[in-house]
Amino acid sequence: MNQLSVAVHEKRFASHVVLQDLSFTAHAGEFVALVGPSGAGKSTLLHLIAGLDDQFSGGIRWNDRPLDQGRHPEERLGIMFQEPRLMPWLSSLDNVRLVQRPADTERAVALLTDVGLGDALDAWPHQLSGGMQRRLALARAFVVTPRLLLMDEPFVSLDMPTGDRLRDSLQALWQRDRPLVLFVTHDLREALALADRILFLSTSPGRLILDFRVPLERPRRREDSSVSALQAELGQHYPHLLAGTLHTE
Amino acid sequence: MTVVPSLVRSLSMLGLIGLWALAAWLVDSTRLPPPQWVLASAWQHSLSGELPYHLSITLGRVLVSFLLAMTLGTAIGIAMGRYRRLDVALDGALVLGLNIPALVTIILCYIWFGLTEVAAITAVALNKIPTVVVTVREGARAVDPKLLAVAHAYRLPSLTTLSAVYLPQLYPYLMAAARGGLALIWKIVLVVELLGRSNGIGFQLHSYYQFFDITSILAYTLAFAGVILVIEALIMRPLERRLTRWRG
Repeated sequence: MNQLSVAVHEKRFASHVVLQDLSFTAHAGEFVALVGPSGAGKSTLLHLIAGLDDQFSGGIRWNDRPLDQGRHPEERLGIMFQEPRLMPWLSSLDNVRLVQRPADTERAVALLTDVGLGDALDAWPHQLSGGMQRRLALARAFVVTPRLLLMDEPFVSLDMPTGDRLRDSLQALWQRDRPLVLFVTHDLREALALADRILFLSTSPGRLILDFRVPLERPRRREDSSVSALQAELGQHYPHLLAGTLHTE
Repeated sequence: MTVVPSLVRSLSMLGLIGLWALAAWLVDSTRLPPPQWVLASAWQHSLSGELPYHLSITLGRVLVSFLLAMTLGTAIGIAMGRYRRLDVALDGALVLGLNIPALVTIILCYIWFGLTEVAAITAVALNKIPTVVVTVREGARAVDPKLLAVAHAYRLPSLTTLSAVYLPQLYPYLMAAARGGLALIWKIVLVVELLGRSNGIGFQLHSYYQFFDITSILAYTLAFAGVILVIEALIMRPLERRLTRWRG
């Protein structure tokens, strides 16, 4: 059983402590959202898990092995950042093929078709709209059949229909491959629409304040009334949850 | 689309030659022979095989010292752009290298290593490396760490990261360094040949200078300029177009 265990004792930038005593475990196939106020260190946490920053005390383990090499097939990692971060000098197809090991054009084309970019295989990233660029980044993340998928507010600053379509694509791909997803967002409705489980973080230094299981059926969308109802309920219990505290004051 | 710029280019070249012809006609002296004399002289020198021989010798030196300077300059430039401490440590040497007159490097190389091919090539490369370093360092500083993070997160092999993520960001800078590099190297190679080689265009120019044979000097210059224009049109511009086609 694939399992991610995260234990960050302390992560600081110079004298500023960003994360402190934050630990959780998550299992293969789980969709986990990380929600917290800005400055809670959510992006930093993803960077630590992705192995982009090893200056912290603690450990990130995948199946009880340090998750740092990513060479083992069971450690395959996909990632989406806040910006699409595509290589502007590579075509759509080559952007996806870039991360494949070994290259598999057929699969790359199939995935691009799945996310609706079948007609834009040879397009340069700058020719694509913002929504299409995110689709390309989504295809790139799934083309490696990731076991662990890290997403750092990947659908931020998109208009609502575009965001909805991307969330639908993400759910479809996730249900097919079932990677463990860690999805950072500050949008509670987005988290409620996508996740099985939401980890709420406090203000800086970020700690875990609530581990919440989402009791809703799939498929669901950000605008569903069940999502609204659950959001309202959470708001009643913890009026300052999104500000990073469970206190009712 | 490309017809208009190449038309303008040709017209401007023709204009230059026209100005030259006009000036030669006005001056009417052997000190400024008209284009047709120079062309005839170039033809003569080509038929005798002398011009192609010296031209190819010079081109060979240009090519070797160009490749040497680009490789070393790029490596040092990337390292200096990337590692702050190295940058600080080498910055003084770089400023010195940029400002030492080419003539000094050439003379010292000939004195220390003898009047050899190696000394000649070394002297040219030494003159060029600092300017490559400066340009490439600028590029290395501008490399986007966010794209490198993508490469790192997906665990791309270092060679793939270098060729598909890192170097494409440097291409505009490498192109600028190559263009400026070629121009500078042409100039220095001739001086090196004049001072310490017994063949090449620089050597020939020196001989004709002693005879005051201005027509031959201009004939060699013309051949040389022709080669530069051909290299620019057939190699540099197509290469640049290819490397920047994604900008659309």
